[in-house]
Amino acid sequence: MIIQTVLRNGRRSSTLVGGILGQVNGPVRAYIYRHFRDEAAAPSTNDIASALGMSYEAVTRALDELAAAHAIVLQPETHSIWMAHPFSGVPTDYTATVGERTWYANCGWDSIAILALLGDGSFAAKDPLTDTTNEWTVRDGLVTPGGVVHFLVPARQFWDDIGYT
Amino acid sequence: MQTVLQLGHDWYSGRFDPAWDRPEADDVVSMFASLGLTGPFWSLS
Repeated sequence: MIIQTVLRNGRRSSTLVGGILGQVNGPVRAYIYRHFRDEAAAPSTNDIASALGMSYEAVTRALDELAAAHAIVLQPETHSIWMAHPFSGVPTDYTATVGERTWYANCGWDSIAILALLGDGSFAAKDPLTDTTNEWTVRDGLVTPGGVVHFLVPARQFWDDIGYT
Repeated sequence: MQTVLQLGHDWYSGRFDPAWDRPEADDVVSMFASLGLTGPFWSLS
């Protein structure tokens, strides 16, 4: 069940819980995630259509449905994938690196989460005020050096403004 | 930092599987609690 919340602007939006995604567009969603994992980049609509044997229109419909269900985030007014958490389809100040490959993440938590999914490596966050980059390493599941991740938004409001979150 | 690494694992595991689905709210709250993430900030209600 998707729990509905009423946002400040009056629109209704599904929250981050509730089990319907596996029955709707699961192959498209999984392909997006696998493409991020394997290519460190978002797939295009044509990539998805070609890989899954779907029409372009069917893919754009699936992307719209996945975005409406908050399984992914599309760049405004497009079908370009902005986020498939923890991966970012656009450059950000947060990165995760495993071996020779580097992924953009949506936030500090997501940069760590990419390593949680893909294995030991390093993650980095650039301070926009000082333009300095801090880096951490994960080896055998242990993060060094220590640190604190600041969550700006309470969990129940993650999707009120996902770009800000 | 270590807690957030575990949160990332618990939260995002399964995303590469077409059959993956979102957990229900109670399961998410239980997952938060297992990591010591409790209180109003981590409540979904």
